Order: sequence, then structure tokens, then C-alpha cells
Amino acid sequence: MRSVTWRLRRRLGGCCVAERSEFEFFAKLSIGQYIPTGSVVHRLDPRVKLILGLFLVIAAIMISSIVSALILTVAVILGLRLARVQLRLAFAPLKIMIIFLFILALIQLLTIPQLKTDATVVFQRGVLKITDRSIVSAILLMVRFVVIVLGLSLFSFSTSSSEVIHGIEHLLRPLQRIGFPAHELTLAAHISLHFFPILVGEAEQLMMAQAARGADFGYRKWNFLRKLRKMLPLLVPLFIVSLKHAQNMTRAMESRCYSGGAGRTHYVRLHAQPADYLGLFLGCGVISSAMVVNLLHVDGTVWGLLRELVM
Amino acid sequence: MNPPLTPIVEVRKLSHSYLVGTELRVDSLREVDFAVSPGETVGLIGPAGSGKSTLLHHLNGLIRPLSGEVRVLGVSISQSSMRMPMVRTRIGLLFQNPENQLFEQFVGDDVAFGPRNMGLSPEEVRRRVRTAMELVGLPFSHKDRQITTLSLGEKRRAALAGVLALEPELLVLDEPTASLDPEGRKRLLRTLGEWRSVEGRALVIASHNMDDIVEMADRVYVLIKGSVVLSGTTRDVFTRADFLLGNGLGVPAATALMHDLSNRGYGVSLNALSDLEAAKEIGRLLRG
Repeated sequence: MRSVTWRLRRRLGGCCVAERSEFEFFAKLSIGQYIPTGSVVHRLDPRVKLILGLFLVIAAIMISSIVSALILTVAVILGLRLARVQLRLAFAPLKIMIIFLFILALIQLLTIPQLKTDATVVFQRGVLKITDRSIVSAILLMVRFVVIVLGLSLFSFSTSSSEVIHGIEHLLRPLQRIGFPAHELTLAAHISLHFFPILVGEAEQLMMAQAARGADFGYRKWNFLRKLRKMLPLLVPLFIVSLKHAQNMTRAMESRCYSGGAGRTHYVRLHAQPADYLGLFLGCGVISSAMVVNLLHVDGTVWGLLRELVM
Repeated sequence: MNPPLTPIVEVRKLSHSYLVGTELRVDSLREVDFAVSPGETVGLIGPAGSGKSTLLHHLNGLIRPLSGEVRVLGVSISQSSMRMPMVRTRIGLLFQNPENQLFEQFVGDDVAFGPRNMGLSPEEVRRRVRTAMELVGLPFSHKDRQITTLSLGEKRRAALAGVLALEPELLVLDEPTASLDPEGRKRLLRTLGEWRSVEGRALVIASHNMDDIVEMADRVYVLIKGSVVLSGTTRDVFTRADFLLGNGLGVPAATALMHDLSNRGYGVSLNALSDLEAAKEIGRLLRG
């Protein structure tokens, strides 16, 4: 279920897909999928989404207040709801990372008190020491991470890869004046994105062909070296096939008189509508309000209020 | 006519779907029954996307049956996960465009890939490589040639040799003649016929080229949208030319010619499948 669109894309890439088979590389990959629901978020100009995504990540890294981190989390979850994507899909990658996240938070919790001794000690036993500051930074680490992962999921769920590429190209266009090869770079990125699922399909086909001749890609998960050795025979034909693809692609482009760079017009023209400006305005509003809250240092006050309510 | 033999592969009520549990679900096989017995050549035809490749992948256990049963040499492969590599080496499967799947530097090493995986002794591997290469018409001295120096036809024969070196009882081929020149095609079909003529071996060919099927197959299955809609002897199936043409399939060139003649008011039998039969029929027409 998680990998629905991924598989769909692979099918469109013209390759065969085996259900319940040992030849699936990326079936469990769920980040980077596009889930077309046609929602408001999907229809938003990709440039707006790119800018907001960038701001969101920057804000999530800069903030040091739990309240503003929570504001960002709620905003992203609202965005996911607005995109009409199942929240389950967005949280799926978090489930895989949760253990690492806990370990990282634990390290923060225990090491910060050793380095910064100016905070109030909440708990101490021997060398183990936990301060209020380390608790805050451990929580912040987790919430930050959640915000960034959910934000990226929201972006990729609602923006198709070609929209991303067009958006990036439009945003980079002013840099062309100073000689930055915006078009060429984005074209290269576009082509590699386009070929990725095709190559995955080819790799699967190769694995199946080799398994048909008795190669055992089997279930022995832990024998990494052996597995690696089994993978080597895949690389050579895969490399050859991708070179062939590249050659065909250049020929196809040249036969249509492609020449990059200046003077190219575009089939897809991005025109920001009033709704896009509104989206940009709202998004920036939410993010900057989180920043303002961060500057106001309201955490202590909120904490006190909460304690009074509970008491 | 033939005494009933135990089929090499028997498929019963096999269904397979991609993307199960989503709105994008695609049923690629629906309750397919299929069997191959020793000594026969079975053709499989169907429009693109009809599930041919999916069915072929089931035959040697690359895909496990989701529902229904696949029995290979009397053993159901849904239960015997341990014996998968054994099954895969007894049922040789050659994919579409196998020349893209060669990966070793030298021809001999590529042909030896299968036998080496089976853990055979070096002498046995060498013997099998020699036999397989000679069978497909590559001199044994080619084993030290670099694969990149081979032509397309030679590469395809090398790939075929790689599968034949497994010495399977059943050879399953997906579009073996696609993109070969007429000479290469003839040669390949002749090789396959020779290979099949050995007692106890069987062949399954999926193809869009009806002339290949007529030339090789004893029986034919027609797969449309994942269901076997028609099966029987090659002659029986191709007498239903209207049905085949109506479903996006072709008929052999000779049959098409007979239909054209018949439509123009000539009284010819529509049953001619091969060029020879068509020639006889036209000869009869001219004389009579």
C-alpha cells in the first residue's frame, strides 16, 4: 500500500513487477512518491511549494523553542490533511527512523549537561546528569526531525517530479544572467529522475534472468558480503544498458534539433495565480509566526501556565 | 494420440494480480489452466499486456502463485521454497532480449554461469558449455571471445547457450525471434527444433510472430486479458482466424493470404497454415 505510486511509476516505466517476490529493490521506499489527489496543495504553484519547503526546513533548524516547533508540526499536519493524503503514509518513514531518533535524543539528553553546566539539574546519579536544558533540546531534536520529514513528505506527495524540475528551473532563471547553467542542470536532474525507475526495472529483470539460471538472491539477509558479490554481475549489464539509453536519448534529442541554453521557450509556463500568492503569504505567515514565538521566549510562561492548569 | 504423460509443468486455476489491495489493482492472470508434457512444443500467444510474461515467470517459480497451483515435475512450488534453485535449473527460462542480460566479459564464462551456480565440477561445467555452445552454433573456440565483439544474433545464441547449459527438461522462451533477421530467426528455430527432438524435452514459446508458432508448436494457448480464451492444437486455434484478428492478434501469413483470396471470391480452403500448404492450395486453384 505504501509503495503504490512507486510501483505504478515502475509499471509505467515499462518493467515487470512481481508481487511477493525477492526481486524487489525499492518496494518499501515511500519517501519521494507522488500521490495524485488533485487537492489545493497539489494545484499550488511548485515554486511556492519549493520556497515554503526551504523556509520550513530553515525555520525548523533555527528555532529553539518547543512551542514554535509544535506550531510548525501542526501546520505541516494541517497541510497534509489539506493535501488529502493519508497521514499514515506520511508517518511511515518516521516509523523506520524512530529507533535512531530515540538514540540521538538520548545522547543529547545525557551529553549536553556535561558540556553546558549553567542549567538547572533535574536528575543526577553519579556521572549521569539531566538538566532542563538537555530535556528541551532532546525534545526539540525529535520534533524538528518530525517537522522536516513530514514537510518533505508533504512536498513530494503533492508535487510531481516534473513540477519540481520546472519550479527549480524557474527559480534559478535569474541566475542565468550571471552565467549559471540553470536549464542544463535542471535538464540533467530531470533525465536522471526519469531514468531511475526504468533502471530499477532493468535491475529487477536482470536479477530474475540470473535467478532463472540458478543464482540465489535468496533470503539470507545477514550475509552482506555474499549478497554484495551476487550484486556485482548486475552492475556490468546495468551500466551497459544505461549507456545505451543515454545514447538513444541523445539521438532522439538531436533528431528533434535540441539545443540547450538561451532562447528556449517552454511548454510548461508557470503563472502564479492570486491563490498561489495567498498560499505563499499564508505559509510564510505560519512560519514567521513560529519564528516570532521563538524570539519571544514564551516556553517558560507556557510551561508555567500548563503546570497551573494541571495543579 | 499420445499416452497421457506426467506434465513437466502443470498450472491449475492460477490467478495473479499486481497492486493488490489498492484501487490500482491489475488482474494479470485469471484462473489460468496450462500444462506442458514431455515431448511437446506449446505456443503461447496474446496481445501485449495479456499476462504472457507473468505466466512464463510462474513456470519456473520466479513468481510464486498467489492463488491457484503450479506443479513443477509433480511438486507444488507454493510449498517447496527450499527447492527453488533446483526448480529454476530444470526449467530453463530465457527472457525477452536476452542479449542485454549477458554480464561476463567472455562468452564462455557467461555460458558457464548457470552450471557453476549448480555447483558442478569444472570438467562437467566445461562439457556442458561445449555442448550448449555447439548446439546453438557457436564454435567452442568462441568461449574466449569478448562478448562485446559478438553480433546481435551471436549474442542471443550465447544467451540461449547459457540456459541450455543448465540442461533443463523444459525450455521457456519469451519472444525468442524478436528483432532477429530472417536468417537468424530460421537458424534459431532450427536449433530449438533440434534441441526439442531429444526424448523427454519440452518447449514453451511465447511470440507475436504467428509463423514462429505455426512452425514450432503442437498446441497453442491464447491468452487475452489474463484468461485462456482458446486452446487446442495449432491447427484448431488458427482456423479461428476471425476470432484472433478481432482480438488484436495476427494469423500466419499463409492463412492471411487464404482469407484474402477467399474474400475475393476464390474457392480456397481457409485451413492452410504454412507456406507449403498455401502453395498447394493455390496450385489446386490454378489447375482446377
